Amino acid sequence: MNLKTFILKRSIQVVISFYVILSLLFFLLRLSPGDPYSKYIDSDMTQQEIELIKKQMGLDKHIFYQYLIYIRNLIKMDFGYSFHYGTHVWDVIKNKILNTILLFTTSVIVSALVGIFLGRIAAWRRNTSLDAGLTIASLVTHTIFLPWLGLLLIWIFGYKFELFPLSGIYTPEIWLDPECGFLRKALDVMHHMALPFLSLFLLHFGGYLLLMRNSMLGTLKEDYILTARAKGLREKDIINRHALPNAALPVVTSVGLSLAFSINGGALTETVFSWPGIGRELVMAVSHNDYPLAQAAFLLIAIVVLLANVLVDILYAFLDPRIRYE
Amino acid sequence: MKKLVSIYVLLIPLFFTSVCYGEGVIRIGLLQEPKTLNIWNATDTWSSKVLSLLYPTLFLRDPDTLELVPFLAEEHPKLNFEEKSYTLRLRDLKWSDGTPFTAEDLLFTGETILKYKIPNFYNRWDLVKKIEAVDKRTVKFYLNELSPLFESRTLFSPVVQKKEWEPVIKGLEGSGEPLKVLMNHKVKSPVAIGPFVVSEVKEGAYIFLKKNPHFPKDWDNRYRGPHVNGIIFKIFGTTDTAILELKKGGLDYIWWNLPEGYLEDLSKEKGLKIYSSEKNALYFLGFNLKKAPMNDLAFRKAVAYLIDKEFIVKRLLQEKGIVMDSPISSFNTKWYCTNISLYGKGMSREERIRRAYETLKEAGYSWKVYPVGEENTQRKGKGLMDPRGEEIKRITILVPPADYDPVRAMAGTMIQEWLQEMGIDVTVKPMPFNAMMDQVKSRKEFDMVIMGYGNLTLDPDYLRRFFESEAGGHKGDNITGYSSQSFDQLARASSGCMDPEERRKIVCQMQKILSEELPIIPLYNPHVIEVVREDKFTGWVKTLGGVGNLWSFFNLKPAKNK
Repeated sequence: MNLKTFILKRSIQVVISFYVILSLLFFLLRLSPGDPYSKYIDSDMTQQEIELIKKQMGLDKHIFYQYLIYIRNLIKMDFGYSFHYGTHVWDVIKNKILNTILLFTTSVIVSALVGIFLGRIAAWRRNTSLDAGLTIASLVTHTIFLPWLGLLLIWIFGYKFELFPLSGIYTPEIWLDPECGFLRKALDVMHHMALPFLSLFLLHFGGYLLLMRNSMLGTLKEDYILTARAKGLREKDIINRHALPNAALPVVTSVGLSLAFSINGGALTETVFSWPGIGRELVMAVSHNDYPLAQAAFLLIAIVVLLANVLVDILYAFLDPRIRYE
Repeated sequence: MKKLVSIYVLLIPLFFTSVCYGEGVIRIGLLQEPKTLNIWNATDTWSSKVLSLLYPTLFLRDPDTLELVPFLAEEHPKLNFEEKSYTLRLRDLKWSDGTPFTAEDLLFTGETILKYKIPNFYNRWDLVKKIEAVDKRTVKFYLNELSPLFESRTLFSPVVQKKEWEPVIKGLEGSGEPLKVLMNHKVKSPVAIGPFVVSEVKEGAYIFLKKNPHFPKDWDNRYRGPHVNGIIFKIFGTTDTAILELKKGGLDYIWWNLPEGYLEDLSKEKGLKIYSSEKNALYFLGFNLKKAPMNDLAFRKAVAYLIDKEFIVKRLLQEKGIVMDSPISSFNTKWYCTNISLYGKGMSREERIRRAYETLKEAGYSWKVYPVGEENTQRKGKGLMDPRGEEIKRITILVPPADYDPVRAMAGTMIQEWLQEMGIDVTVKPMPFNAMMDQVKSRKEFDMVIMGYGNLTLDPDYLRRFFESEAGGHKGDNITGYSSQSFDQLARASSGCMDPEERRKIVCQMQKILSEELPIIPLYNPHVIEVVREDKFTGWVKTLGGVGNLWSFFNLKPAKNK
């Protein structure tokens, strides 16, 4: 099977998976308790008036008919209006997704780079106190309860030492000040980003470190490493040129998928740090029974993750010549 | 990497450069982002709070007496019994764009609400048959039937500018879903009639309101404001971070009710002031009257004897609240009546158990293990059996989860303990709020539930909504399924009675019936606990519902010793 056939086959799988996801999503959301129209009902409204509201929200029709409309609108790329905000769902998503990408994608990239770097060192210096320290530190930070870590960082660095803002993404006084230019505003966002970034970094780098360390340890036992040593190559070259590219393969998959998942943000991080991202929005959409917004957000995540899977598979072939699509 | 860190370190001094902007601007924390600035879609608390400063109502409640005070109106409406009409004179005011506020604006608002049956506003206007402009500043409301509810509902309606909304309404013509289009209309900067106007919105982060330059300073003799230059609403995800921000000085007021657990810590902070204010709320234990044994009055009375409301208020609310004996709060002296039946008030636990035991025994209930022995000795009862001798199956009390409302969740656990002492097999089931409401209001599949209404009107018409037979249908507010002809007659009479004295008598009778038939057991009414930075702004006006009210925003001034 050549690459083109592989991509075609995987694309068909993606389309089928996407269809299953969007259908499940539609029915699961409607099976969840509550309804989106109760908050619009006045106590003095007659049943006829309540029905009118349901009709206006498109909830008066049979669920399968609603499903057909949903599919038709999806084909037209029309995700409708958020029940909660009353604005088009893309307006809600586009305002939040950039904030999420800024924080979460940056943290995934940085924690992956640091994790790979330290994982490589830990593997090379295995069974030393450095290895033990890094491994223990990774296990602790990787398994820590995020809201607790977030609040602790806020309390220490935001409240006690007043080094960073406690929450949010902007300092209103700076953004409202006409004398503050782009640089000042950009720095303000970076300043606000420091604590949520640090908590995400602490949470994630350990995972990459452990993954890289284990992969590296496996690779270092391979015969070609022994051969390289026998040839008298420098240790640095053995690690960086021979072991690292092979050991990095599982990490590439992990980072690729983490990057894809990073667009759904994280409800806990965004809530603790009042970061206006898509994660908190998703949770709110589900709790408000805001079907259009929840559907659009979940579908966006689904499509990015599905595509990332395909891309990682293709990337694998380029990184590892042993892998062929057969 | 090293370079990046170095650049960041070099930039750090810039983060701490002082910002002068914001002098005289008060910073207020909100727990969630207001979902819209379109008043028709503002069904959430947070949008309502912000928009209340842009769209004040025709009348307000006096912060001390709670009597009606004209705001957009100039004086109290004149009633014409023959015509069934009210005539109202409007104040000479200007919108934030400088155009005059006229009768046409009020006319347009009323007609729009009535035509499109706009949810949350329609019930304020459905008493009105017709509305006409007598002159530029006088409006006449013709009612379907004279009702005292006109004053508590229609006069608390906000008014929108005709000039701003007329093109939107014209655009609805020919639309298959006009209400949907109206509610989804995007409003970036509403034309306001109140003391503030929207200046800038950063979605998910903050809203900045500045002073409305056209708002008159002399509209009230007591509160001649606003004296602040603007308001910044900051959005927080958690109470913890908002409190730290307040303690740090980055926030001047947290505009939501704080859990009692924060009080001790906050009371030690200098410059902070904690306000504990009454609110018109009702938290109660509701019975499903369609199911046994909840449909038996003796059983409900026994439960009422067993519940120690004073204990709940003392321990769970830390005395920041009041015991509710009637669905109307005791501070609402205009409507609260003392002719009601009380259960177990002032009794010890032993006396409560004995009274509950006697009530059940008289009604024919029996036990496998009796909770009260022959010589009045008490022990834990077991296996309560109904008058037919059948053991009562496990009863479930639905409560919201502790992270949503810790007091209700804990009250449920306490009630479970007290009922188990009597040998009633009962268990508490915390349930997500939406799921609980679905189960209780839509499907009516519950035994008992602890519910709450956090913001009731002072007018007691909600008794009709909660207990009238007609309101017992799907999604009706009568969740218990209570049905009483005599109560229904009184409820209808109450909403049409124009004589305040006569109406009070009717309302007292309604309360008496409810206390005797116990479709619900009113439990408590918690205070609103708020915290402000008094070292930054002074002049908070405490009234029913807390210090976050228009009066405060008129009266607040930057603190002199700041």
